[in-house]
Amino acid sequence: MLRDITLGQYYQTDSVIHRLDPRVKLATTICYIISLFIVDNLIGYVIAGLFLALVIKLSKVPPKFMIRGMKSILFLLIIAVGFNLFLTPGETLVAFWKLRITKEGGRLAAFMAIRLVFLIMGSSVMTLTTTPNNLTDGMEKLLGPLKRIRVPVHEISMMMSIALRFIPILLEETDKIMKAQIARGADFENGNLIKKAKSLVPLLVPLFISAFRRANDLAMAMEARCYRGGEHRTKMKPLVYHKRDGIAYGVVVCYLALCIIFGKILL
Amino acid sequence: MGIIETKDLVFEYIRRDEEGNVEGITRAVDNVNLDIKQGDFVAILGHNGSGKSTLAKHINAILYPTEGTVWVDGKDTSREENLWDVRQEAGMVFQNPDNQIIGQVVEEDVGFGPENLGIPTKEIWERVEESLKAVGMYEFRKHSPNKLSGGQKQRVSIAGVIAMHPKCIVLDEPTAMLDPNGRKEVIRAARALNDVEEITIILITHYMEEIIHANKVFVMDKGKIAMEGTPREIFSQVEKLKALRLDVPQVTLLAHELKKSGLAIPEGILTCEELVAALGRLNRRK
Amino acid sequence: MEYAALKDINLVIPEGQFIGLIGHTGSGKSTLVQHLNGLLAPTSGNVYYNGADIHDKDYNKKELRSKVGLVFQYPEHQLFEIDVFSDVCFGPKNLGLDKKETELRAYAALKQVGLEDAYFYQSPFDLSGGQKRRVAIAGVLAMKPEVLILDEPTAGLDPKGRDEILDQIARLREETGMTVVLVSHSMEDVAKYVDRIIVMNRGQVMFDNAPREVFRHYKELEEVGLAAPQVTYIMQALKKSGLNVDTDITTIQEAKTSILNALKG
Repeated sequence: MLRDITLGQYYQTDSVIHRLDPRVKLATTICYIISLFIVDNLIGYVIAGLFLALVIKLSKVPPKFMIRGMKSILFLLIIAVGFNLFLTPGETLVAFWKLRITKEGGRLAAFMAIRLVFLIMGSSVMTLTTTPNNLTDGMEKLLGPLKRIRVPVHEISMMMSIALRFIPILLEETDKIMKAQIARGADFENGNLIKKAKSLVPLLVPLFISAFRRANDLAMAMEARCYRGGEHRTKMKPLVYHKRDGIAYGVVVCYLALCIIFGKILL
Repeated sequence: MGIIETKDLVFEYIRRDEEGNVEGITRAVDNVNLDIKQGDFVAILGHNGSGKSTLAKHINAILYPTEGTVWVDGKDTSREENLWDVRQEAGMVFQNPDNQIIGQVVEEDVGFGPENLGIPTKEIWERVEESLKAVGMYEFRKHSPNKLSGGQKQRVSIAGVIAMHPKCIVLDEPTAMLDPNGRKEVIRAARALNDVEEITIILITHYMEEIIHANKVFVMDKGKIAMEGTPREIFSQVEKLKALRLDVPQVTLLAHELKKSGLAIPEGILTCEELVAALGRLNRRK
Repeated sequence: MEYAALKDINLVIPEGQFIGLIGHTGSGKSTLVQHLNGLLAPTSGNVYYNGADIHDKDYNKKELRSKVGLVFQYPEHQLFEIDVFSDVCFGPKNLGLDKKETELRAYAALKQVGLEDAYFYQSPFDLSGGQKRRVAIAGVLAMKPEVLILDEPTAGLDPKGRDEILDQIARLREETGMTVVLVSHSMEDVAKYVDRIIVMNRGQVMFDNAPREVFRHYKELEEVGLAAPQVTYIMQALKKSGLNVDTDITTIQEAKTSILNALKG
């Protein structure tokens, strides 16, 4: 169950999308998210959907990986859709008991759902096709200029990549500790809020201790391998733009233009 | 002077209470003198808490001596200007396979050390390739470390150290958390490095069957070197090993028991074949 | 990606037996034991405890978990309380017992694992590895289980620590007559204690018999990455070299007697 979260899980295969520079993928993801908020008609969403479908196809990642990632936001999705569906004023379509669905509400809810689904799928395409190290490298490079105003860009990106590496390990550990405490009669499900919060102590204490122990070990292992911050460091995979990255930027610009023309201005 | 030498090495932990007052001092390493030659395969044995891991961390300049000196390739580890040279020349592999892999992909992890050393990109790739091949993990280079078995993860960690071109590798209980297959894999990889690349290996362990191939064995107890010698010399002192909370391979133990009940067989039998041969001689003589 | 972690497992564990469950990492042994106290539910098939199906709707799972005590691998990673004694009280407290009974049980359990009184009010995190493990085992014993399952109870301990824990478990079983299942990947460790060995491979039971019967298959065991105790190999080699020894031997003591007899005769 805990393993179903796809965010931050790299899917290993070889595709055009995998080979793209992470800066391109980051920029594209940001543009894509912006585009989802620009468009507000059906054609716009069709364009966004086609673009996403094309990218997923090119990435060679089985779509079920992205669908699996959706499960984790299902709850959020239902709430967002529900609010829009029932609370938007306008022309009533259906009404029962105290609830009524309006035409505008239906429209808004549908768009909201599409937006959320595309947004999550779009960002999971990025994380599924880019190794987190690569991703943080891209971020480090994109944010590079901030170093001048003393933002510790290298340290932040190193922290992120370590966090990403340890998330699956800690999730597994959570599962294990939970089972061990259930075997000792712990109850994580029943009871009121206070009782539930209290029941988390036997889970969280061991988890924190384990996380600290791991952090300590890792720091030692990094030091032993001569890690001393970003200075003097070379890169095994330095970021270099290739022709394909230029093409990708071009495609993204075209896509944005299409979105603005058809999704905003024309209709 | 050998690749690693320690003189009167002492290390003390200071325990403090909640207010930061000194509660007591524990001497984890107590007057240790070592002299390890380039190309040796050295095993350091000891029960948990005997000080063997603390000693190991001195070789990599993770800990500094309270008293005495440690030299790696002639360089004093406590001098700041030697720090990075020492860490590059004496690589270290730790116990927990999960907590020492930094990269999300095997090859990126192996590249981490060379990146820190400022090696040019092209050479990093060459080093990563040769290191992964040396431990037989090249075909896994694109894999996520989370999907590997414990033994494979430890081999990746070893490759990560080799890529830094060290003269010596300290393996600090690399097999304690592995199953028998994983243990064999790791020991095989370490032996191959010693044989083929002539890298000095210092293996810290409490599994006796792993030290049979070492040229020299040190047994630690209470921070001191309690025994030292070849594996055969060490294993011929079964009672002493037991007193030091260690055990001996079943074959050695059986030979010892047989000798105690009056059979004329040599002490320190290490393999099944040796025992069969010794008993065969007895049987024929009869 | 679904695959069967366990396939066609048919086992009967009689009361009071001492069982070694052996298999290498990924053989399904840990998955199997989590079925025995209802932490995992079978995809198909049933698990019965004292004749009752544990996945029946009205079956009391919580009570089952107190009857079938499961000690996980590296159990010290589950310690969380401020001192040793309170940590051991956690199990019985969850069972809804009153304070007095809870404390009596915790005390008895700590005595059963051989922990000295001096440690009772120390933080569990200040103890040594072996002591922590004892505390964690006591935490399960305090629920007074009828069956005790230990998943790799000796992982990461040094040889002496390993022997101490195993001896303690064997003594405990003798005193209480509890059913004990010892999960391990080492034949050598369990050979001298258990009455029965179940070997798991790829989610299936490969052998299920008395230790000496299982070790007869040492060649097959080797093929699946397990090894019989070294002494089995020694006896086989001696037999081959023409010495008339008993090859069904599992411990050093037996081996010694057999070799001495063979040399005499």
